[in-house]
Amino acid sequence: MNKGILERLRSSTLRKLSYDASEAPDRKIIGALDEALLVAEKVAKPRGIYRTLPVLETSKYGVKTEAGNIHSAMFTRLVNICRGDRSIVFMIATIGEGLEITGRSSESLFHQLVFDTVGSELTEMTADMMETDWRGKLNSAGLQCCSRFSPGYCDWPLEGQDVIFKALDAGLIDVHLSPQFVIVPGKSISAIAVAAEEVPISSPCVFCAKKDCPWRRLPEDKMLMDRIKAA
Amino acid sequence: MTDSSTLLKNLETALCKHDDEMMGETLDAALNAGVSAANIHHALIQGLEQVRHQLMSNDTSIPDFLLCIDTMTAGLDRLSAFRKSDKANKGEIPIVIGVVEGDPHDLGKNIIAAIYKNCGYRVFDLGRDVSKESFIKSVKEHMPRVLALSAMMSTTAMVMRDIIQEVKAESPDIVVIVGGAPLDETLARSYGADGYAETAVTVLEETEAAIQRAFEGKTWSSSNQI
Repeated sequence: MNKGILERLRSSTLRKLSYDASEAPDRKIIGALDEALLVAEKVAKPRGIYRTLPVLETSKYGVKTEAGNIHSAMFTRLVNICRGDRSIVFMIATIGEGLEITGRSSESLFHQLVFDTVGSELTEMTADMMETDWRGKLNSAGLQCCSRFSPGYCDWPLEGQDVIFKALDAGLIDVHLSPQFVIVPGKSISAIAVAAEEVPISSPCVFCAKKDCPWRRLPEDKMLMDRIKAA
Repeated sequence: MTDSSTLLKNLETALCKHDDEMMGETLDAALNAGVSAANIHHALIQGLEQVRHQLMSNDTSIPDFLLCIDTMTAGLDRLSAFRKSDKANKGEIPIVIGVVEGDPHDLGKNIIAAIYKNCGYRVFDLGRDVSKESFIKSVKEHMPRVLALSAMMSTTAMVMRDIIQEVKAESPDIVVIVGGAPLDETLARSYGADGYAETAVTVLEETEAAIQRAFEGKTWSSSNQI
């Protein structure tokens, strides 16, 4: 891991732990963070895998691909308003289990929290880097994509992990799915995105009426909805 | 020489400031001055209560709260060395806690277990990914007043219903508290739980209220929610 990534990881972890980067946190916090970053540097194995499959068809309740169906009405609506040939990007990113194991072995709850947060932030960064990679390639081919969308969010049940794991050989990066659809190791992210010549919105959040959703990424946009309906 | 009430106040302060050094020194001074272990424990609980209330009013953060719990745990460990009859303390309420099968997320459960432990419950922590059979076995073995179940995924939370049904069939008086991201009060009720702990901040009140309701033979309804 290079210095730039470590610095970004340090600041994003501090932010996540609700410490203001402008004020110097006390030595206990810095000590735990330094230790977690050191361990992350040694044991974390950021890796990822992705693949693109064409959309075979869509119905009211799902998007069909050769790996299986994506049962999310919201995501299907997004796919339906895309123009041109549509395909689905399937991705999994992970940092391995090393950081989690070390964090769990601590008796201090604060240390456990810091290790967990460093792990989560590094996993997000790994997924972001992967997304930048496939997005760049698709953009170069003249295609647009939406933001990544994961099972367990919005109206896509956690069972949706299944289609992602059917689309990808996750064993190549030592990731697997438990019978309860939990990804192992825990510090992993699975997601999909739609790619097409024109993807008018970046997230299915636009279609959702749940205004107080903590995961909401886009505000309700009536004008956009009217334009979509008219089109 | 510092008097007992100042020492007890200093213990509260050490905890609120998560100052391990001050905690150790004050604890030793209090024990040398003959302050009872019960009064020391009470002062530490008072300190933790202060921090919990600060967290409720957003005057402190979760990380700082956890630092305070760590300081308290270190203090209690030190205290237990002097408190030989600790394990025979009849006042402790036994509680079995664990994360249900298939769920690897245990940080939240660890926090709750530490709060219970530090506030006078006798905690039997079964860890994470605990099978229904292990919960049933542990309840038979320890005969706890409370069973606390945690799940962080919608797919794993569903097994809570089965665990609760089977445990209650064997131990109808047990009080079951559930908590975790996919749950809410309605879901907790539908699973047959006696209480729902939304956060670590309110878990003690929720547990005490559920025990009280069970003691009075009341059912869990919105009218008697705290």
